[in-house]
Amino acid sequence: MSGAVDFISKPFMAIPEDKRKALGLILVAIILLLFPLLHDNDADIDTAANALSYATLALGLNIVVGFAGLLDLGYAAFFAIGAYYYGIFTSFQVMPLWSGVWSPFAAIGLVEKINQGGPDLVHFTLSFWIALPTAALVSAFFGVLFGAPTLRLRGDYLAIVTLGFGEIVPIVARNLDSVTNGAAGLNGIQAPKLFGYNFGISAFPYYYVGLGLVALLIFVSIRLRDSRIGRAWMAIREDETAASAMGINLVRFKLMAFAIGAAFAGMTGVYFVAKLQTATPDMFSFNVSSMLLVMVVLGGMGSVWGVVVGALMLQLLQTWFLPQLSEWLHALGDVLGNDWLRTVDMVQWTQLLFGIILIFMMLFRREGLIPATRKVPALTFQAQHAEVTRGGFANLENIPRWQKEGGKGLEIRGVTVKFGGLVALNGIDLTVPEGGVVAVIGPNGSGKSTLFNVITGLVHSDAGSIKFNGVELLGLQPHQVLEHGVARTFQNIRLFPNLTVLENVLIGQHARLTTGPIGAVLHTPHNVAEEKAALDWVSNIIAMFSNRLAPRVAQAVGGLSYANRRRVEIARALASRPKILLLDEPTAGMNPAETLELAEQIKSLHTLGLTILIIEHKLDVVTKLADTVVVLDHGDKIAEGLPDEVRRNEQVLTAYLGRAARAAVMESANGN
Amino acid sequence: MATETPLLEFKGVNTYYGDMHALKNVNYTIMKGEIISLLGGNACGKSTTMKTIMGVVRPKTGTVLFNGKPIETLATSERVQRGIAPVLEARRLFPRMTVYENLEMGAYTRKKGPEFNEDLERVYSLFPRVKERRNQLAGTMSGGEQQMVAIGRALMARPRLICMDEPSMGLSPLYVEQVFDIIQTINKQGTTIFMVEQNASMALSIAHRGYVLQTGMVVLSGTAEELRNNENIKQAYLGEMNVDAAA
Repeated sequence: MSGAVDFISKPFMAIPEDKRKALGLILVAIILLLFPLLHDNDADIDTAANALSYATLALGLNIVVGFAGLLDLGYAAFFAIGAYYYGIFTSFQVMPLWSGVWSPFAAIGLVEKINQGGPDLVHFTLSFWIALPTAALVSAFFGVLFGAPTLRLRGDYLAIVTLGFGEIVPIVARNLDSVTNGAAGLNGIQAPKLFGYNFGISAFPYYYVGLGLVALLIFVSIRLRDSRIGRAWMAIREDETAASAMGINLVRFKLMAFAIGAAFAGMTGVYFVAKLQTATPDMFSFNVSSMLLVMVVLGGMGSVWGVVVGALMLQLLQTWFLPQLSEWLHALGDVLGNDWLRTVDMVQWTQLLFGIILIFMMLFRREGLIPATRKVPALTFQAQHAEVTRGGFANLENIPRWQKEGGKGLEIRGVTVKFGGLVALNGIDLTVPEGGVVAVIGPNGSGKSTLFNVITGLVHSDAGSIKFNGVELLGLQPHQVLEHGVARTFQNIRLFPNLTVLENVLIGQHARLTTGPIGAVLHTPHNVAEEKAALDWVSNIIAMFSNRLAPRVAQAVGGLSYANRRRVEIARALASRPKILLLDEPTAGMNPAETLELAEQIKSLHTLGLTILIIEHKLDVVTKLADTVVVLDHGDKIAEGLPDEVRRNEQVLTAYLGRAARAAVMESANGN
Repeated sequence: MATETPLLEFKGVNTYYGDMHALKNVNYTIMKGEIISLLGGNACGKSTTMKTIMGVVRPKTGTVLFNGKPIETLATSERVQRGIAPVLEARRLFPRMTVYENLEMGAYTRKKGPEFNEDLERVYSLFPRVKERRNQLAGTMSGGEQQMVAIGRALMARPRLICMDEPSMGLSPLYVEQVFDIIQTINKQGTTIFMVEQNASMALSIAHRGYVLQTGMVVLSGTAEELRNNENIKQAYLGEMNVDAAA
């Protein structure tokens, strides 16, 4: 047996990987294309055609749940909307009175005049081929409509609300008798026609339409995933706060995910009812939403090929394998004389089997059948060995200098932030001139990070003004602040842990790119050029960290060392080409040698003309870098001045610096 | 000293992550009452050492002895019961529980009773600030205060050995000094300390002995005094930055 497998697999494995993939894909495509021709059984072809519709639904849900991380339990609602859209506009359910207004529509074939023995009526005759794209638009519209009020919610809350609209849509369909014919459902829905050929009820042509739809949506999914848009979705999934701080408009991209996911479902709805030629409310119940979620989880969240395989497998398991299994058990029962086996119907057990499959997946293969991210082997010690380098960033020849634009830099005036009764910042004034480096120091809890949060729009201010080059930043959303050239890092490191180093840094470029969903899918010249430029720029940024990051570009950042995660975060912020860089304790978790290395690297950015505001506890770093030091304590500015003045300040010594620094001051005073 | 049983001992420990050999034939010996400092660059096996002690990862070969008995097959909770308590990297408090509840969790493996109250008093006397803030949610405190609670939580297990992963990370100079003072106090009260610390000069100023890890191997060990005066250590871990700072 294994000899036979070797016989086939050995030459196959010898082909280079990318070609092997293409070859495999072509083989699968040929098998799928030939299947109905070779296997002339209408019931089986019908089952396969249905399974394909589940695959397209799973692809759509994958965009919402897998890519953008928005748990949607009511996805079937959009399936229903597409289905009823086509159903209503092709059946005999809604028939207004004929008038001249309808003539132009009749001319282009959207309606026809009929007479059922009374006044003339309008019969809608929307073509399947027009319905398919327009259903996508209609469902996308509803996706935005349902999404807009709910997307501010996170996690569990969003799931509950989507559960709500998932129930509302079938209930509306059930009760809006005049339009939907209630629980009995729409009947007499038209079959598609193509060049005069009517698809009728044979499953054969539908199978090919379904196959085409799956292929199209796989293509769209992959193009979106590998674009600026896909990166934005995954960033939102990984960490919303960091995503918005890197310039991603959360509301816009979440709605986009909802709309595109809904569009996939709407198209599937058209396909599904055209094939069945009927639509009833039960076809879109919660069961469908939950089953789709199972398919996505089984296949692999965020994995395009995975969810297709997951959907096909579960659907075929249910309709092919279980009846077959039942028959085998019945035969076994006959042999053994066991009555229970003789009559058992495994199809009844579908839900139970799904449950068991899910549990096993969660226990043993959480990332799904085909995981979205492939495991990259960990680097060996030799490969990750890095010497501490001195003298600042390497490979700076491709990084242009920051030119002085004569702006006023960052001007903070009288900013106050209150959390309930606690005053976190009390009328703070601070100026970072263009090209300058200002350090903020102060005890833990003195308001330093709050200062960063209020500048970057994460925290609301009660009073004051923050202007950057004359533009008021207070009141802006975090992504707008980044668009104005203010980029930051976080005290507790907020990277996108499941994305690679390269993806993390590329997300920093998000705000500087403009490709929309259509450009991303079609790979317009603009998009191709933009992506290439972004990749070049990001590679230059990564190269600055010499061999700290370059060997790890394909590694998920979650597995990197603390110091390297800090470096990735700085690289990500630099990737946005900021005009001012806000660094929150960049050297925390680094040993003195690494600290020195990073301090010199930051210094080299300053030499290139970048404006920097830095929070740092290590006084030697502050002394080395900063022109001005500002000291905060309990939300008040207690000192400001040159580094040397500040470290001698009595108040600063007491509140912040401690005895070693005091001893140093004493010593140098005695020395004088 | 020579005949005494070490409190914690690594004998030829090899730990792997998949194919990656993270600890290579590592030996440590930690006697009762010592403060041991573990030095090394990033990704050299320091955190893996801590994880191996706590049982988050298991060695492939080699033995970990606690008080002379092998513990490498025990679950983390059993190790805590035997007297090893961790102070985790980046503190890892329960942010939505109060300070008091966090301390209670430290004593999770023990029965509540007079001993619990004794330990609570001890923590409160070491950290008056923690007592003041006992009803506050842990997540709303500053980094320095959180580190105090994290140490307090470890003490509530009444441990014989505390393993600390970077106790000074992200703390202001004043807090760093306080944290190291308290580590010394706790040690003098009889608890053995094993700590990973990037701030090598501070760590060696209170430690009795130290080990230096490089790419998963112990490359150097000795008394704190010896390590402080070692030229390689000076260059690699104490750095010129400290020379700057002292000037």
